[in-house]
Amino acid sequence: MKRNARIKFSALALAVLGLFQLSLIWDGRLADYVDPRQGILVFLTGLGCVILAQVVLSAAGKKFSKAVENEVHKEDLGAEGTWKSPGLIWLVVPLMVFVLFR
Amino acid sequence: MPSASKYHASSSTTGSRLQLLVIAAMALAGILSRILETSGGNATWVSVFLDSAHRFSVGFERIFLETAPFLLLGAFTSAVVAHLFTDADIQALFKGGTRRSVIFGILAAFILPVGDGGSALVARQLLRKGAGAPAAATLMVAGPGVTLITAGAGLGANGMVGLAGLRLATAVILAIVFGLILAQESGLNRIIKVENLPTATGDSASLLEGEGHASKAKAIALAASIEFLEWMPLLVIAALIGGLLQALIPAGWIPPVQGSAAWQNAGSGLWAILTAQSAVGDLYTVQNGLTTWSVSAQRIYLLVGMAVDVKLILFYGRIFRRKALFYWISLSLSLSLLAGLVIESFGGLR
Repeated sequence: MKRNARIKFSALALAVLGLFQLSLIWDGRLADYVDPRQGILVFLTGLGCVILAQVVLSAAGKKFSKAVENEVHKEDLGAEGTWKSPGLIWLVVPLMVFVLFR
Repeated sequence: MPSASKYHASSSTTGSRLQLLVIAAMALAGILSRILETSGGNATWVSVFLDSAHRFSVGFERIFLETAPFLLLGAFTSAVVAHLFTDADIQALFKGGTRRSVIFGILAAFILPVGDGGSALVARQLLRKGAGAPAAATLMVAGPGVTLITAGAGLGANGMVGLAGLRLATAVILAIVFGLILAQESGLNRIIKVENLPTATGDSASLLEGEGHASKAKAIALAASIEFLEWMPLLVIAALIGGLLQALIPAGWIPPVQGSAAWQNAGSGLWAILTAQSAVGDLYTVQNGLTTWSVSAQRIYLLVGMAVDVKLILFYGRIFRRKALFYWISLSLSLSLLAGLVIESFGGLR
């Protein structure tokens, strides 16, 4: 997969995660899993994920993102910004558990 | 090195296959549970299966939803440390004498918003910027118990001030002792997985020199996203393991366990490790009328749950070698037990 496609996939994963958490609050299912007093933390995390998704998406195809990425993964200086996305497929699991198991 | 690249390619293919297999198995189990649920069958095995499926889903989602906020906070804090502080700043604060390092580690854990799991990301960032291992380890271990969010939730919850205070004190003692033990180790690579800490090739803060505030904010947000996405699969795996174990353990082992006080305490300790609730979540669980649990079992649940659980073992295992992990787990369990016994001998808290 090309770098830009990987970045977009990461942004999509973040957006889905964020919307999933917000939807749990919206339909009241959050109380099935955690104490409702933690709703504010879950809400802020959902919102944060959606905002980060926007930031990641806007970084696709820009040199600036390569520089930041190389700082985070300094061991890969030669790779010139490979946008590591190890095991992003795991992120479908929370949604799958929510939809399939009751 | 064609053979090395071939090895990497084959190991990554095996990893992807394993992921797909696990996900397919879970999807099958989920679909089966939906079919059985709608079929209305009342055979014993059907109700056992549905009960286990329910326990799995609640256990999984609870670990995931309670930890994700702290992971995101940890990713943000780590990104801020990476981009706003130079290596020299960090080394001036977190490197030096053992006593000083440990105290600064605890202060950082108290001030920075890093709870369950999030402290591992910040500790890794500090280590990569040259902080001493005792300081980083102290921050990592103290984080879940002493961070402002946890302390605030404990002090704000009715009737939980005593237990929250006990937990805070235990977390501080645990962190100090663990930091002092690690300070006795001679080589960093004997206790820390140095290969998971990218080697510093310069000053991270220099990347943004001369840049405007907007660029800095964008760089911090992007770095936080990268770190969050890097650790998120580990959280999902921890939630899978925790959820599965909660579904598979015999019902008699789930608190309140019948039998002597020792069995009750062991049951609640094991349940705290498997449920892997956040330090805020387990406080609310205890407060929400665990009237059927003994007071000492509640205490053990809070103390063990704060110090060691499934997700923390996976997160810390990314940074510590087995030796340090063994020190941390055995120290956490023995200190939790000791704190419970000391409070018991003084007549309890509530």
